[in-house]
Amino acid sequence: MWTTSLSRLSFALGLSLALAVPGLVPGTALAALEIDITKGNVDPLPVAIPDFFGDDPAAEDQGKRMAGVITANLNRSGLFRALNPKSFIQTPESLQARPRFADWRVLNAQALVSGKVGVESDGRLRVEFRLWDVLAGEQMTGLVYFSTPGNWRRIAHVISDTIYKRLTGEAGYFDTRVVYVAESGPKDRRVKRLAIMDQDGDGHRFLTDGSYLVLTPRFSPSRQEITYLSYYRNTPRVYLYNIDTGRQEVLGEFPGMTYAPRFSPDGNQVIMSMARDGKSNIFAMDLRTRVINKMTNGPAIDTSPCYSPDGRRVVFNSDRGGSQQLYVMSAGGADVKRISFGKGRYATPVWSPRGDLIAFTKIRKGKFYIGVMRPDGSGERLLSESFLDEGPTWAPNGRVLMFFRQTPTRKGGRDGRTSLWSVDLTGYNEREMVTPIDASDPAWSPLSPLNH
Amino acid sequence: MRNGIAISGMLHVGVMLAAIHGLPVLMDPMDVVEQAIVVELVTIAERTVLQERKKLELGKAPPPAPKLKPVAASKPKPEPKPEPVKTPPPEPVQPPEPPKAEPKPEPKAIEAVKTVKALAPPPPEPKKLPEKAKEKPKPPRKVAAAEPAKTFRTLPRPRAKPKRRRPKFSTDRIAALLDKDQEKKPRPKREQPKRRETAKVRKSFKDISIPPAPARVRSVPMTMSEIAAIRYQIQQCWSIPAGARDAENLVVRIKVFLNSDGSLSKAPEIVGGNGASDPFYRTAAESARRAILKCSPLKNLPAAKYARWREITLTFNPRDMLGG
Repeated sequence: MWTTSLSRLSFALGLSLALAVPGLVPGTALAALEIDITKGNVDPLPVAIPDFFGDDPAAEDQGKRMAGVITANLNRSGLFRALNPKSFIQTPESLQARPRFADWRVLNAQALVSGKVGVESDGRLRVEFRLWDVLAGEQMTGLVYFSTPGNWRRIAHVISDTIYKRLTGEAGYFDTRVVYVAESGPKDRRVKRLAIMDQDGDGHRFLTDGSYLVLTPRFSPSRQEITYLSYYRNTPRVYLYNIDTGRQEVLGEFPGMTYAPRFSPDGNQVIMSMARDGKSNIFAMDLRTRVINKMTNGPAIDTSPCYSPDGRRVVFNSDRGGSQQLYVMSAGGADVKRISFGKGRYATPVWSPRGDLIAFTKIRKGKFYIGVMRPDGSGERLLSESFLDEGPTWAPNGRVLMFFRQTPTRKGGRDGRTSLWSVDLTGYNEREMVTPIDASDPAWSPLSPLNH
Repeated sequence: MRNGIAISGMLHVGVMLAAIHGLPVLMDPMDVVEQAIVVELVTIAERTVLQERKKLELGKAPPPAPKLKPVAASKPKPEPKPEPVKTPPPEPVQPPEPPKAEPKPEPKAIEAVKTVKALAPPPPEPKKLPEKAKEKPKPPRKVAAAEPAKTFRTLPRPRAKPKRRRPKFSTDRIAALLDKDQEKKPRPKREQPKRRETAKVRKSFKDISIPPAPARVRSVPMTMSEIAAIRYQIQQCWSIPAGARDAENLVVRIKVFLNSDGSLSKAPEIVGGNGASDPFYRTAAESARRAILKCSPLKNLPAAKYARWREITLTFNPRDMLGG
């Protein structure tokens, strides 16, 4: 092998080339290290919300109250943790010039809200707020609002929504209201009144006086209007009520209707279930032409229909399969598909405004559960459980559910309270909504279109 | 007799034909289904468990620690003068008044709340003070002392190899192994910083110059446990809001530039992405950036392999956290 000089030469050449090649490659930096981060923690984000600054004592008081409303909103969402104001180092006044980020980093705050309240010369309220990223040391957003002085709460809710959206990416739900049925009296002679309040419990008002029965208020998905079933003068009628303007209108008389109708997302159709000749089927009424379409047919009981947010599908519950289960069909009534297959009975389905989940009430072995599942029926999760939990309604951003819960009545008629509760769609953060008297059948309003 | 022979002959022929045609079928070798076995070459240090530096004893003389350029000390910046916020004068805006309702029940007329304009952020504090700042007469730079002492050593130690291996196939690691024998460019000569230059105030981590890589370092690739240490630290700091949807939009890639002590040498850079146009992506990118800022400085990083981890690209993907 090494005999011929030619082979020796070629070997030497090859070896030298092989050794020289690494030297020919210019000395470059090493490739950047790549690391995947796929997990984090779901701890609430620490936010510092000092009082809003005001030039005079009245504005200062206003600023303090506004900061209180924003703090309560963000705390209640479960995604944020407002830091204790007693620990703040920088005063609201010096905060107006520029935050000293080192002061806030010491408190482990990751976001900072600073604001200023003032009254203009023409009497309008001027609120300015800025959201700061403490760790990066820069401003994230800054906005100014003008309104009447009596509207300061609404501005605080709008600011909370802006902060929520900036820090989580999803729209907030703080500038909303909840309509529900307030109940009082003994169980066999219940007085039911329609009531409305802000989502944080403030601004509570009764809308009816309780002399006639009101049931199942439902909000339109895009407008500040509710429908509710009323037995005024012992006639069951569906009313359409605009909260902002106060106009009421009779939608129609629907003898045999089992629940108040729901709107389609575009507001043109109304869907309901009606019992006729012993059969309960789903009907859709076009509000413009007042033509009624029958969507399901059959001897089974089909009730509680609800449109999807794109208006193309409808979820309802039916016992055509033998037990009360959830079905999805197209908006025309075709393609009926069963989506729930678990043990127990499924009722009151509500499609999330985000479109990714359907909430329902499940009844099994004498217990009630509030749960969610995906529109194809997979991923069923139960979020709450009790003696009686029913009637879920979604917040407009599709992340929080509100339902009503009744505790069992004890001997002597004690307990048996009905109250409103809210829970996050992950199952965490179950909270009670405080109402003046017993409450049931909540309906969550959409976000007001004025600012979003 | 004849018939017997003929019959016997035919039977013999029949048997032979059957044997010729039938038996080879049985003798065909079966197809061997080749299954690819994935082999990953992973570097595992002799010790996979990180130890505190106090417990290390020097069994052998360690290779000389790379000479790192001493970092010029950053003087604490004086208090910035607060500049007044220049807010634009408010424009007179007429909020639309919805009609007040009379019939019972009257609702509260919700006045329109008008947002006028977004405020510009107040101008940032000045980056540099004028050169005339008087400095105390002390040596212009602090020698970064005791750098080798706080590092983790990956020395060959007389111990049995650990059996745990994490099967994670990544072509980057293969490439890193092949790059084992790297010759770095000789470092540019270091200049003597003049006294006047030390008067320049450096603003936090944005202006500190990246120390150049030491010359001619034979870098061993990063081991699994070291990468896991970095990953664990950042995961502790990363807050994801639970229940968000569209997780595929929330993949964020960020480049991190580190000093030799694990702190950030400049601001993290976001690689690619939709930028400010997609609010979900922006929120995800900000949460990733906050995680990095919160976790800085990173701990337990091997100084001997500084060339390997001075620039890290982190991919934040919350798919494991977000369910349906």
